[in-house]
Amino acid sequence: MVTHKWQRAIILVVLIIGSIVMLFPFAWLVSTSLKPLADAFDGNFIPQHLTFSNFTQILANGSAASVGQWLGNSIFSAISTSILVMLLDSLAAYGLARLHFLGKKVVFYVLVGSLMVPFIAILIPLYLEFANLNLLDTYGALILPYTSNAFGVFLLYQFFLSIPKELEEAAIIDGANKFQMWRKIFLPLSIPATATLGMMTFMGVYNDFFWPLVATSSNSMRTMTVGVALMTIGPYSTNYPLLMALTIFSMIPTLIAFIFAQRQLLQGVATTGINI
Amino acid sequence: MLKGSKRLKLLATSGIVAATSLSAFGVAAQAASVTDITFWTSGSPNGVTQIVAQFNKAYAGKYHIDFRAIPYSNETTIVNSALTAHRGPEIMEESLTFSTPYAVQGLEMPIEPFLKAAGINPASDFPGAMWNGTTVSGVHYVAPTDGLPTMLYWNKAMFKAAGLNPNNPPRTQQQFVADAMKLTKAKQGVWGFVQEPGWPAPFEFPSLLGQFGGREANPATKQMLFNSPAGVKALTFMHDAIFKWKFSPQNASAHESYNLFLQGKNAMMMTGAYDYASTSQKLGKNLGFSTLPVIGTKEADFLGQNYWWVFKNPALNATTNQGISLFMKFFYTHSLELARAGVLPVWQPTLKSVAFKKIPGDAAQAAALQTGILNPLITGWGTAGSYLYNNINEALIGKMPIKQALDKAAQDMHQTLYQSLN
Amino acid sequence: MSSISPAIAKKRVRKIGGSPLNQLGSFLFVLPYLIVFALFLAYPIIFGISVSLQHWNPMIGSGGFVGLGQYLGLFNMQSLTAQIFWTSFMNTAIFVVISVPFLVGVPLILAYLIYNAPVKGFFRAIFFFPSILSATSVMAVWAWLLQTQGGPINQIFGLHIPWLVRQPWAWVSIDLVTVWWSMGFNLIIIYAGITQISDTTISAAAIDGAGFLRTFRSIVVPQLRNVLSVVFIMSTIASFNLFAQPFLLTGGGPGQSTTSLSQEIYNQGFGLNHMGSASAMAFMMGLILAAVSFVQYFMVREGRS
Repeated sequence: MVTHKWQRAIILVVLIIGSIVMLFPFAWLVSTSLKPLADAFDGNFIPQHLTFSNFTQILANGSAASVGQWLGNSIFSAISTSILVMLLDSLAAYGLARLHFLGKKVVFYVLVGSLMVPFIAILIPLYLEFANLNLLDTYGALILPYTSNAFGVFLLYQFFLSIPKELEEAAIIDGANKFQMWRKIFLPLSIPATATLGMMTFMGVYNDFFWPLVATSSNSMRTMTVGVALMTIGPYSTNYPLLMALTIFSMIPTLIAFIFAQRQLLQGVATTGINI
Repeated sequence: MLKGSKRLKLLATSGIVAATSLSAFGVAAQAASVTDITFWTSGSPNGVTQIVAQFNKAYAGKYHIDFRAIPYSNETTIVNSALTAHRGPEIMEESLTFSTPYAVQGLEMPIEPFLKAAGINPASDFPGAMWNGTTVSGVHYVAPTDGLPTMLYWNKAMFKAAGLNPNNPPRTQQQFVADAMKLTKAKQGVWGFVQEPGWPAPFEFPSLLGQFGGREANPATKQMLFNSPAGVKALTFMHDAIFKWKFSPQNASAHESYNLFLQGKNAMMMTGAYDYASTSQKLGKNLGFSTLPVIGTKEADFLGQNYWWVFKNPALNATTNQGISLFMKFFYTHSLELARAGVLPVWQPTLKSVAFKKIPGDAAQAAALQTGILNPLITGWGTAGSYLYNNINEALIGKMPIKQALDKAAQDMHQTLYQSLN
Repeated sequence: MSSISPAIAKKRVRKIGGSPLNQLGSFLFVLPYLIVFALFLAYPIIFGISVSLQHWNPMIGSGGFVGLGQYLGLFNMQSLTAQIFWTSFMNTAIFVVISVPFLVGVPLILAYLIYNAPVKGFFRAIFFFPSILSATSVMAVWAWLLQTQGGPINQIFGLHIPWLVRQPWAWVSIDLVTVWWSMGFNLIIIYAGITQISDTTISAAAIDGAGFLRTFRSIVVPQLRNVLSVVFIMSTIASFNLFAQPFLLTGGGPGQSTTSLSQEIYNQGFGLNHMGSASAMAFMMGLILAAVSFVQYFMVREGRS
């Protein structure tokens, strides 16, 4: 569709300028992570007293065991949640978008309605529920509450709606049942969307701060975000260089998750080509 | 793309992994013979962690302190959720303002029996400013654990460059204004003092208010008192720094005072002692650090602080109570650890010790404890206080007259604290 | 694709609509999700609604049933609670209005540009990148970049703008930072949507002589309606839940002009210990949000047909 060379050139220039704008604040973040506390906001982009102590401090003696544990907890709960969410939401979205049963519309609107409720309204109820189930300070508390979010169902529902009817009909002629249809048509065709959902879930769980803070109490169940806050944010002042270093350190798993999801996105392009 | 069935298997197995792990990681069992005491703090864990470790070692097999640090800005959420589910800690350490609601609701044990059992005499073992008057309905529920006074920081190199004696910081309002104006070179972006419209007013304003002889509120009569003539004088000084004497820039952002101080573009700060570590690291011998000058009519320094108390809990018995007393005593007698970690202890024997006086910066801070002032013990003060600081903010960006700002704040705070639900 | 015969069409209807047993089979797809939904969302929401009908102090639990009193109280403009609610609601509404168009429009344009650019993966990663950073560190960097006196942005461009201290700059800053920080998700969702419009459709348009812009207007945007409706609604919800940006950038100021509704609900519940009235505020916010989203959803869907 882009036929002219000059159009390509303009697109490229716009995107390159955009990229610089996007990366500029991050460059300051990196620069701050390489400064001692006293130089944190001294106005120099190039650190005057370059130091890696913020990074070595993360892995140093006492804190090493903890940081590893926090990171492990975060990754484990984020991956488990993502897989559960992709599976549950894809099935539910398929059922709602492409199948029929009594009360389907009601179910759909209840789910969408639940998206409107702010988390603060259910914080205390959720906490009491997990206390009664004796699941506070366990992986259960770090995984289960996130599986109920209706966002993924809503997202995949919209994607499934835009998959052409003809594909479904062809499969019916081939004698496929509903489950086979989901597995062989809807699941593969929605890989870009499902991978996106998986990654968003991963990041949502991995970066969540408020719930794990309230729901876990022991050091061994702490997640990375909570650990970072405890290591850097004091009552009146924050150790910004250490915070930046920890931010860079803790974004690595998300980056890997993103690269993984990117591959799924590209594969999505390849599959759609053969559809129609 | 991945083959459908393979993908499905992957999904299914991971689901099972997630599910089984839920049961595998249940609540850990505790050893039976040791008495566990849970202790949560939203203060700095620096120093406390070491003291707790030493205590657990010294009393191994008898008592064990389960220590949990919680981030300052989320403390009420965590503590209140835990209390709702009857999972609160035995000992809680927070800033004074946060202790009041629990005392008012009858959730705290009186602290004096615990101190007495530990052989602590609060009247002589704590600085008077931190013990006297910290009561709710006449009962002491809380005891101080650390303090954080408002201090004057100055850059000696900038004083020298401006022809001022670097070892003779201003001690009166007149001197402060004269020095600050001398230090200011507005065109080059160099300031004698940076008055931020936001932070650190919660340290600065109560200090100046106290210096002019005023106080924030009277819990007994439920009256707001900061809109008194003393309050107007205090806020007028902050306002004039920007608009009359102009030794402070307009529209300074949050933390700009500190950032410019580190860059050598701001000569003086009046803020909490929390910036001592980083400023002394940056300025070295050029850092001056003392109690506040008398901007008003007498010395007064607002104190940031932490206090602790014991939550009423059916599990408390003679053994746990004894353990709590033992730990409190151990904490205070080992409070030099706090000073070493950069936290100001409030235990008189530690404050008077030679070892303490050798720690740089700490002796100056200890002097401020004598003239320290605290926030009033009123439920919700911390949250309702945002009215005061929002209105001070409006006054300091020149959008609202001083008296009007304080009156508006007093009215809204009174309504929030006393006329809303509950 | 050949058109289907009436016989097959009939068969399809029977197969998909179907007998009660068939419907039960269809329902089984939704059931697993509904179980977790019921346990970990519906139940807490119902519990939360009951809290909003009581005086509820988070330290000690229920303090008595008050019915709809706390909801009605939000309309009694004499009370400070109502004033707080509507003032912060208006603040939040301003933010929704100034942020949602950018949170949808900017990623939509970028996604289309990236789709037509070389090194797609690279650009997608760059524009998505800020989304993976934590709120605390992102806001700390921006709070520094936007300082009035010594902040790099004012220095580089020789400006003297009080970005975080005066209006309307405070909103401009919060909006700017929000778009920079959180448009990444929308970008990849929209991008996934574009990849799902088949290449053949887009190529066919090219053969018909549709240019770059016309393809965007008459093929890509209409085909993306379903996806854009999700992005639109999710951005509205996210913007209504504004919390971290003003909390960490402007402290809710100047005055209380950027204090968000979430912040006030939090203060009400945990600062002043009126959890019941905080819950009522939260559900009232949810109701308003539902009404707004309902209108949005049908506007986007009507636009399609």
